[in-house]
Amino acid sequence: MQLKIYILVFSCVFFFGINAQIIEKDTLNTVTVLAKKDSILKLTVITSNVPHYVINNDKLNEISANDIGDALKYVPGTYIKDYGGIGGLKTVSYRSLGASHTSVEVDGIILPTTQTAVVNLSSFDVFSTQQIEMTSGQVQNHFSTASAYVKSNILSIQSQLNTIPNNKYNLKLMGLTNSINSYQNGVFYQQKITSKLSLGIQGLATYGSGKYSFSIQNVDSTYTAVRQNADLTNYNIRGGFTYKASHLKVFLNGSYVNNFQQLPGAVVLYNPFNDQTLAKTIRNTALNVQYKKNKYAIGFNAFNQQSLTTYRDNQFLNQQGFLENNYDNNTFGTGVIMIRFLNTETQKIFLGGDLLLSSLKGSQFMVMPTRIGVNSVLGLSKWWRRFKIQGNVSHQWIKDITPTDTNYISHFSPFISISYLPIKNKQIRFRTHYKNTYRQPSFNDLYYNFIGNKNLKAENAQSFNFGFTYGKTIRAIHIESTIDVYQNNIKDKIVAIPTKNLFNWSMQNIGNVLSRGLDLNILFTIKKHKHKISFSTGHSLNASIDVTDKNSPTYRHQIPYTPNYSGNYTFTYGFKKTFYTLTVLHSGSRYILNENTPYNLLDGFIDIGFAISKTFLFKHQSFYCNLQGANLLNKNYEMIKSYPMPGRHIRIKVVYQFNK
Amino acid sequence: MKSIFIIIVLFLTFTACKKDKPQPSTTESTYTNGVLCMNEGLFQQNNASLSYYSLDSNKVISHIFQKINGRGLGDTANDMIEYTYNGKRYIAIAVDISSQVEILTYENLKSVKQIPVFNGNMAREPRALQFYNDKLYSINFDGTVSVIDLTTYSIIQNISCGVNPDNAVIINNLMYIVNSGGLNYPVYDSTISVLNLNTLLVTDTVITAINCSQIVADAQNEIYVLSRGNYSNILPKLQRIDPITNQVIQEFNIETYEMTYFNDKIYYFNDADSKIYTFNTTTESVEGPLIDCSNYQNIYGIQIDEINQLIYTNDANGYVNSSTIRCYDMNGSFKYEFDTDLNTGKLIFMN
Repeated sequence: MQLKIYILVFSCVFFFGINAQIIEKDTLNTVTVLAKKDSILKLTVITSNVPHYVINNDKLNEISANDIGDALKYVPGTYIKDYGGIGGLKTVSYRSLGASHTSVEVDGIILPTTQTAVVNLSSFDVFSTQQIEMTSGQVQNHFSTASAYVKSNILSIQSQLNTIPNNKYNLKLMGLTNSINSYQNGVFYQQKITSKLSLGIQGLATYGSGKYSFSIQNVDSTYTAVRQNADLTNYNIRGGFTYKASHLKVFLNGSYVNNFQQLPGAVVLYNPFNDQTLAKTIRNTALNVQYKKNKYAIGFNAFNQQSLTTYRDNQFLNQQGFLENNYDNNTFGTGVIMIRFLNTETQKIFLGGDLLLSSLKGSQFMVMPTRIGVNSVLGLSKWWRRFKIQGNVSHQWIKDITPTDTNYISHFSPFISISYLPIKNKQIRFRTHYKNTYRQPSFNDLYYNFIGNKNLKAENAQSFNFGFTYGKTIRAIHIESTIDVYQNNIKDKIVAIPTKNLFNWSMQNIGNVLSRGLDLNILFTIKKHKHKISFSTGHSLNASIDVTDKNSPTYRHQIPYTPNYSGNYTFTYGFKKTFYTLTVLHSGSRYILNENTPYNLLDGFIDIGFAISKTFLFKHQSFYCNLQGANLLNKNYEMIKSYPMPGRHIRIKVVYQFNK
Repeated sequence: MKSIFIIIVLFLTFTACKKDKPQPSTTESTYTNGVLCMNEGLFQQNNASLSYYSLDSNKVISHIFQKINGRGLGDTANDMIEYTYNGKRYIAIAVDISSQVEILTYENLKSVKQIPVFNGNMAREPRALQFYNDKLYSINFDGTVSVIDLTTYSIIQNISCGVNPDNAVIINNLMYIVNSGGLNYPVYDSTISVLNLNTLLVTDTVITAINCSQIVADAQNEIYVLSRGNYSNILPKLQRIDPITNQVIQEFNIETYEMTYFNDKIYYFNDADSKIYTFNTTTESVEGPLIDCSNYQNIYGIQIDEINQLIYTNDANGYVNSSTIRCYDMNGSFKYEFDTDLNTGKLIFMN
């Protein structure tokens, strides 16, 4: 009933409310300062009402990222939980909000996370990626559907396949070799069938033993060994049709991923043996339609994802001699977003709704849950004098059906943001936003045998942001910067705790965190003749403390895996088609557990890389090569305790392109 | 405007936090009046450790093993015992996930030998230790007992018992090994293997309730074994076993996961009301309550200092924080408490 009223109200506002709008001239709409060909330099979006970072394909190459997780390390405010090695798990925590607070959108489709609530970022390669965007608060793409509005942060990935080629034929071949025994081969082919329709197909193979030597400090001695049991074989095939006419864009695609990997596990002192494997098959089909005419636009998408996962431990000490867990997760989703532009394209009112159906069968689930989810959003973007206002209300509704129970969760999430341009025609902007979001419990949280708790509530996160953005061009010099301070209040965190004794653990809504911080990003570029210099740096300060219980020994302690300070630097010098890039990633020390004792401290680190890349251009053909020395200081560090990152290593990447 | 940013950058760069690392605090030359605490640490964190509480200074020296030996104890310590060999006192520690048995001298806690316990590439995972007749016995989670020669510090024989043994007790020349079968869930083991320590042959198997863990023997050599049930609909219980017939002769519905034996009494923590009671092994009846533990977060052990006649309890504080050790006299009156490290298990009362 509540839902029906709410849809009715939203519909009325959408169709009738717009006539009442006072139309303002959009004179303050800012001009993009950097031309597209210089976009390698870009990271932070200074015209945005909310923290918004863009990393395009050139930038991904510049920082020699192996995957999307690597690239996000350059976004201020992120902490990548990186288990190291090839195929190692990478999840993003942004401003102390864990991975479950970040939606991942690939070509307009929000990836389903009903089973685990998180997405492994190492499964998104650079080869097939055109651009990634990290946004906090509200997604900034017009055609994102309602599911993109319900979480605190969103990572959008646009793949190259979802682009229209300029040429009739477009062939790309890639080879990559890494001295940590990891290899990658990719092929990408696009062909125009008609002037509006093109066909694309890509294949990527990632493989290798993943063996690398590492050292871990064992008090006064150093334990040096080679990372074992890290074999990876991953095949990723994707194909699709893209249709683009003046008002209509359609992208229909399908993909198949086959992944088999050994899990190197934690480095355990005095016991180097480990034998666990993970096999995964994912099938994806997706359709994305965007229609835009005059003041109206409509977006539609539908997808299906089937994922089969098998985890096996061959050293499990039961009578069988091994442990095998299987999971079969199937999700279908569809969504519509309707937009009415108000005078200009930066002003709009929009309404959208998504439907999601997801089911899970698993050897660790006595109940086989099915989830029906409905997400909806109503929003507005509007200029008013020198103020830009963005606001939306999103709603999540979930019905979980198991053989024994039916559970409902329903939450409204408001978002409001205001930015202010104090000086006409100047790139100076103050921005602020507030958002309240609810992270839904996953199937694992609710129904996993023994530990799952079907009475869980959603995790509640409130975010406040206040920022300042600045951009200026003086002849050949260009500066862009954003600085944001924030506060996040997280309540009812979903954590596993022992209820009575060691043998009875359960998921509970326990834990409140108060997180305060500052994110700063500065870009400085000089362009003269054929010389190009850019310097980009990001810095984050973060004080995130446990405020759960005054009587707890960890009250007001910094939460685990949250450095007080982290920063990065990228220097690039380019001459004609040759680029030299120095990258520095730095993180302060972090605690591995709630209790802030010196013995729970994980050392900070500095990771320095240097890369040379050169593009050779021929008629219809180009040849790109990139040589990178990574972790040049050869200091083994850990992002996650007991999972050492590789030491100094070399990476060579070559890309051949043919366009005609 | 630019200069403001540069100042901020410089400020941030030079204020990058550097936290205090553990200082190598002083250790003591001998350990004769205190409590040595084995901290299990956490799985895959390599942070098993020892803490020493000095009864002279009333201070805790944490991470004493690594301070003395310059290396970590390893991953997940499970048991710690003291023994005397060739007239010299030693301490042995079973380090489960690292799959090592660590031998220390009693007097200065220096490592004498680290004995790997492996079956080829498979960790056997030592869970409990026993000493008998100049040999050390490691009860391993892979379903074996390793016999360790203390002259050569090598494993001379591995004997198969049941699935996932967790504890053992020795009566005369017989070792009663409790097979939990914990990793074989839902089909838990429900046996005790009886190992003759003279012949090193398993001579008998006692049928018990499922998932037994702790085992004690009383002054009459009767055996009491604790079944943990299945943590849901099958509740824990205490079983009394006749050592002559190797048969369960009595069962008591006692809801507990932690117990210890001293002087005709089993001291156990009653889950239902969070109190420590005693079970008299001569009258076979419950007495008490003795200690109210409602202020505890997670009780993780009861041990008795037999010489000084004191009861010690471990509180694991949620299993991810430092443990609290509380001391009581035999009447249950609180005496003092101190904090150790992650998941304190065994204590040794050093004298």
